[in-house]
Amino acid sequence: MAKIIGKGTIFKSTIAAMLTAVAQVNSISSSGFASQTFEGTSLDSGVGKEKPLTGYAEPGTVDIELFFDPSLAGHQFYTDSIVVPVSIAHSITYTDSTVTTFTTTGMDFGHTVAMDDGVKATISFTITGLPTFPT
Amino acid sequence: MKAKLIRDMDVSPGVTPKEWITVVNGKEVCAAGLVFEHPEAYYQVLQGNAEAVDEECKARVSRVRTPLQLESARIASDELLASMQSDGETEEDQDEED
Repeated sequence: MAKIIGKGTIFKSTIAAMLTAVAQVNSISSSGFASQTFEGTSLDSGVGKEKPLTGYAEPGTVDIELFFDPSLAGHQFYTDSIVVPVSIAHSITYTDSTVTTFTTTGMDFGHTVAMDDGVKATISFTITGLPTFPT
Repeated sequence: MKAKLIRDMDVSPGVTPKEWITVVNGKEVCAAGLVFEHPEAYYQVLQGNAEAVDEECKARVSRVRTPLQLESARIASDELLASMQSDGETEEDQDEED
């Protein structure tokens, strides 16, 4: 049991078939990784509504925010990957050296230029299949 | 498009070709010195992880925007803006004189 820190976590994406660290990432978050259920309640059910499993899992999305540098190859790779859509394998390496891996297909890129902040980009990746968490 | 790794790189499971992989200290890596061929090899060159070893890769790297090119574009843009502003001031001066 340990409380691992966020500082030093590495987000990597597969660039030219090798996992490559992406620079200037300042946050990583995921959501929507969920086992899927369906509404199984019928008129003759008991009081508690029934939510049987479908047998599928929603892989969800991963969002990263980074200080955007348009001249950085690792950042250009993302915008280029929207122009020429490709699936990308990624990993998140935590500071205790454990790793989460996942493959994404869709990507949503946006960036912000604000007077009182650095230029930032947010990228949302749509995961396909199942992410692999340490077990 | 060929490039040569100048540092060890992590393997992407299910993506990295098996012939690129070596085991170093019990860990699978693409080892420094590996010459690999890939349509996107130039990204690793631009990232500072590899060096271009064929003309196609060198040419591709040279076509991508570099910080120096961006700086040149910024300076050119500043000069253009300054010249537009000075033209505007000159026209205003002439209007006042008229």
